[in-house]
Amino acid sequence: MSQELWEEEVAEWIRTVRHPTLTPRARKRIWREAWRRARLSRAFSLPVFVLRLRPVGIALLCVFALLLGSFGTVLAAQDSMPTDLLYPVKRASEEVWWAVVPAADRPTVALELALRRMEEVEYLLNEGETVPEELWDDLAGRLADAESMEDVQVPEHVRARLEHHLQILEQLMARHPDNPGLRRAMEASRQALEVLSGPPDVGHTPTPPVSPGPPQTPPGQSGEHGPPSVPPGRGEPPPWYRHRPTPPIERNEPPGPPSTPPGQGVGQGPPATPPGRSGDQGPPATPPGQGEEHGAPSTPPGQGEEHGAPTTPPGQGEEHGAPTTPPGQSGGQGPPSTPPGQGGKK
Amino acid sequence: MCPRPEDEADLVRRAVNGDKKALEALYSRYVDSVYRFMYYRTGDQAVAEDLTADVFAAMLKAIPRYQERGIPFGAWLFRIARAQWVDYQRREERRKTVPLYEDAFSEPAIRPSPEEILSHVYFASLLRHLTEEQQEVVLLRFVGGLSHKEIAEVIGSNPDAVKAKVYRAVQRLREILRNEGGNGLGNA
Repeated sequence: MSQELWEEEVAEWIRTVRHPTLTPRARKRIWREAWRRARLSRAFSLPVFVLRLRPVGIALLCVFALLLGSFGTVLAAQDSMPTDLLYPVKRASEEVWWAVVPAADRPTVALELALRRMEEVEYLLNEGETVPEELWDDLAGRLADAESMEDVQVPEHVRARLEHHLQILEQLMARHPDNPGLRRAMEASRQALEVLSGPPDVGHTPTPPVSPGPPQTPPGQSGEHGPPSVPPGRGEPPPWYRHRPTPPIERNEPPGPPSTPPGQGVGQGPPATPPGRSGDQGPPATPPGQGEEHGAPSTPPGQGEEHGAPTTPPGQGEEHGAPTTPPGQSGGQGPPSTPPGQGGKK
Repeated sequence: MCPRPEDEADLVRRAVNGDKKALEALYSRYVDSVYRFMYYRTGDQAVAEDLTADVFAAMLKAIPRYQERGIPFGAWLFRIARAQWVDYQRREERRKTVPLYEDAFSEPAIRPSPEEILSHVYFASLLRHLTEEQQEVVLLRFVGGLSHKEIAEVIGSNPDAVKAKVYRAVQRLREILRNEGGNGLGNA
């Protein structure tokens, strides 16, 4: 008998066997179950493109996601304060920044980090928190690092911020006179500002006498400061850093000497001294922004008596707060109506 | 046996595009043969139903990527069924349980009556006398209704080898029927 016949015979027999059959109800049940399982399987399965990637691709995808997440965390941490959970991330990222920054830019970065510490100190003191000793140490250390850049000019806006924070520290000092860390920070800040301002004829371009005629300084630049020698971008904070200006401190001054305006020597002037001037500073030979104890012996060029208008010398008036001053214009250099190039002089 | 209407290709095309009615039509056509395949493999109706649902769930999930490319839909579906069966066997081996069909089907009756010969229990008990491969090709050939070429696609062999396997399996079935029934298939 041929195979085809045998097969046909067996096929015929199997066809006639009463095979188990599904009831209509069972058919519907199986169909519903199949759909349910298919949906469930889709919901819990990886996308097809991921499966096609193979392990190496999946590993790369995981690494990429991890990096992206880490970068996001670092970014989010930059605005954190010592009381925040992400603050250690901020400090760690600063250490990385410090480790990779070129040696030439280190002083500027040190100053930037010092400014951050100042913001944090101000925040903690305003919140009534205790400032850890480590924070004071770091602030003093960063300022000391920044002072090593005597031959490098800091960007103007960084110096303006330093001035601004120094004023805030002075206000805080009035409220916390017994805080040794604050006193240390203030002294270090003043010293840093003095060093970073440089000798009068280095950091300050002599302002020509006021005369009728077109201003020599192009608009947008202060007449007292030459063009920055630091190229744009050099020494700038990394792209993920966002400066958060410190909110103004509510004046809650105790009665008496603290009425002396900040920036001109705490407790050195009589209470009646008008803002912006120190009553006992005497001759206007005191350099801008410095109290008597740090006074330079001579009057800087361009700021002599012949221009000795009764207005606040540049860099002294806290009413011209640095955060509102656009870069390129000194923070305390006269009212906004001052024409460019005249640096707040009449 | 699976009906193979000429419009199956059209049904499959529509199913690939997500037409639910076409999917249901394909299910209606193949559910019995898939269920029987699973039933004769497992010997348990509940398990067979469960595995059938798995087969069609896999079909629903995979059909958007189905491309004919020389393999007909029926062969493709039984390839899924076979994979599900293999997975089930592996799971059962891990659990180290006795295969269900050994308990479900008794030894074939000596000199079965014509009624018994036509029962699915008798057919299942005869299958136990075949090798695993022979059982598979017999089920695919006579329960699934696949051609030798389609079976070759399902089990990853070539049509000639499948033909030889089917021949040996049929020969063996005839021998058993002669020995046990006495009168061969003619009695059926």
